[in-house]
Amino acid sequence: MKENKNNYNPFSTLNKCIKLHFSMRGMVNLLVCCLFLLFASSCIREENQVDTPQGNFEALWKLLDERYCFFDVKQVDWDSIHDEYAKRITDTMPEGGLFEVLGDMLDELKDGHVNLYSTADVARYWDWYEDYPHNFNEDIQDRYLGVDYKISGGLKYCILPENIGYVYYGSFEGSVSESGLDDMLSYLAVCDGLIFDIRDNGGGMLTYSEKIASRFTNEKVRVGYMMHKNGPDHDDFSSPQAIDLKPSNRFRWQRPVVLLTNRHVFSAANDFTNKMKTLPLVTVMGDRTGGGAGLPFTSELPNGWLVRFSASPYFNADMETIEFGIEPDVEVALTVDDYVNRHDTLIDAAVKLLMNN
Amino acid sequence: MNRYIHYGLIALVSVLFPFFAEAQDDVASLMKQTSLCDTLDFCGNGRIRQATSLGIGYLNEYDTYLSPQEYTGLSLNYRNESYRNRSWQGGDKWITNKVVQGYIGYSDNKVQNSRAYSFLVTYHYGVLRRWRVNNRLQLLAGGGGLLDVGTLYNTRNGNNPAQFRFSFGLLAQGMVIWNFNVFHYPLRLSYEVGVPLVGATFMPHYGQSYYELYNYGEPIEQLNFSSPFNTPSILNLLSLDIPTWSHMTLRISYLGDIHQAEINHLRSHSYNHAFMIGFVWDSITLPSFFGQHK
Repeated sequence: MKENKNNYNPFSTLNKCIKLHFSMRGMVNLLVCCLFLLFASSCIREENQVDTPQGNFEALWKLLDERYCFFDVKQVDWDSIHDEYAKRITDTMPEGGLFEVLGDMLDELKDGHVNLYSTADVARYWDWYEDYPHNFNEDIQDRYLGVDYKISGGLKYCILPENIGYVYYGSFEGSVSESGLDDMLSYLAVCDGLIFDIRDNGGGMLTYSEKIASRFTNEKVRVGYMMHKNGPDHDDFSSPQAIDLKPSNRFRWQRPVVLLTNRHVFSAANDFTNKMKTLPLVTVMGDRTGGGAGLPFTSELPNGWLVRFSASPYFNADMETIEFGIEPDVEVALTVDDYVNRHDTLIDAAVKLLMNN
Repeated sequence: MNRYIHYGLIALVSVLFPFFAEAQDDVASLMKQTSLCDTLDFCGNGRIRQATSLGIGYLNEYDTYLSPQEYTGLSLNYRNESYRNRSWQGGDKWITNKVVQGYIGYSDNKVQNSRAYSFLVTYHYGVLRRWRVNNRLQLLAGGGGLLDVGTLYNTRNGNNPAQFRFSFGLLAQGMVIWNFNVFHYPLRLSYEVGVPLVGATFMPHYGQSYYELYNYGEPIEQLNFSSPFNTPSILNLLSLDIPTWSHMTLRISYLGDIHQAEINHLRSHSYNHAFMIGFVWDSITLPSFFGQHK
């Protein structure tokens, strides 16, 4: 039956369209679309993970190639390093030999945050402190701490005879609580100055670095910047993210502070040094720090060996890299005479500086 | 791993055995009392069909933020779904459904010297249009909203120990229900598919640490537009319903929950294939029970 053109109603056509859309045919179309999406979408699976000497070598090289953050800063030609070390890989080489070659390749990065871990060994680069004077001796330090020093989490502290407070923090893995800092700073409040000793501190929790440093400023201070990789190319970096140190709303230290450092100060301790150096009441004394300004990430090889590498660089307030360490304000080294006489040259110099202040 | 699957199945069957035994006693009377419409169809306004299942599954987790390797292991799964007839347009064409589904699981790398733990909870609410092809076959299609929350935690990693999983968006759904008899015993086979369409998915930048993200960044900025092109995911559920009591039906299902993402140069997936056992029952809303439902 023909439709009467005079009674043409556009809404009836629309209704028919809607009915058609919601009819069996429409539903079948929808299902077909769903199936299309199902089959058109490719599976997202792992890539190139072959547990052979060659496969592990390529996996390590590629992992670093895409994720390591200091190629340009250290001017490392990673492609030529691939060619150089690929020659040393054979299909029949033993596990120990492969570990040695891969460790040697990682050494080319000269980075204390780059490690390869197997059940038998840890490949590491420690030249940043092994090639320099230690400037710290625990036995001599014990003379200053005495026997009745106090301990709050990872912090040891006492009052020296010159009425100078002395705090030793040997690792940023050692816990630091807000109430512990309150107790420590309250106890030391009678002192004319404070020595904060982080020699031999190889790092740990960045959050502790911020928590402690916030006790030494009364205002918000720009202490540095942080970046991260946003792609696999060597120059794929985000814009710098400003890092501001905010004052703690609890007990804050108001008198001069000397921060003691040596070459073993690394990673989170290096970051702490950077933060403290920005503050007006703080003098950094001792030796240059060891550096380590790339937040390390962890990954693994097809054979299960763990890999650690610098992934996210941070900088000082002038946007300069602190990967290679931070110079002290006052350079002081442990002298042979003091070592023989069981005196800590750095602590003595810090006491003198604070007493003169 | 096979040993764990074996133990898991034994545990499930042990828990459910009393129900199977009772079901066998009732089969004869059930055959007489039960029609397809009573037990295997959505009937009556205000009636809510619910199904709750538990299961054990094979889990494959992959996230290049944590590791370039796929991790495999086991998952424990839970799924609760409810379907409610709606009297819109004066008929029984429309159904709303609500699904809460989740798993907890562990997975190991290939050489089994590293372990990851994960969980994922999915909620979706949808509206389905029903077409009755004939007395036995029904087709349903529709869509709704989807929310996924979970995490994948790698026990070996340092500053990148975990990946937070969060996404929401629109979901397209389809369903086929086939009622059939085997030796006059009524059964129902249903297949349900859900495909996330557009929405938002959380993903940090390629080398961005959660330390930076939460201390100095804005996590909300890491919500990325998602579509089947960068998050091709799908949920499959194949279920066989076996009437056992007059008011309850045994359900045996295969659940295939496939989540994938490739965002910010990071690739991830979560493949969860689970064998589920549960029950289907009908409930009635109180307003409907007192005759107030329209």
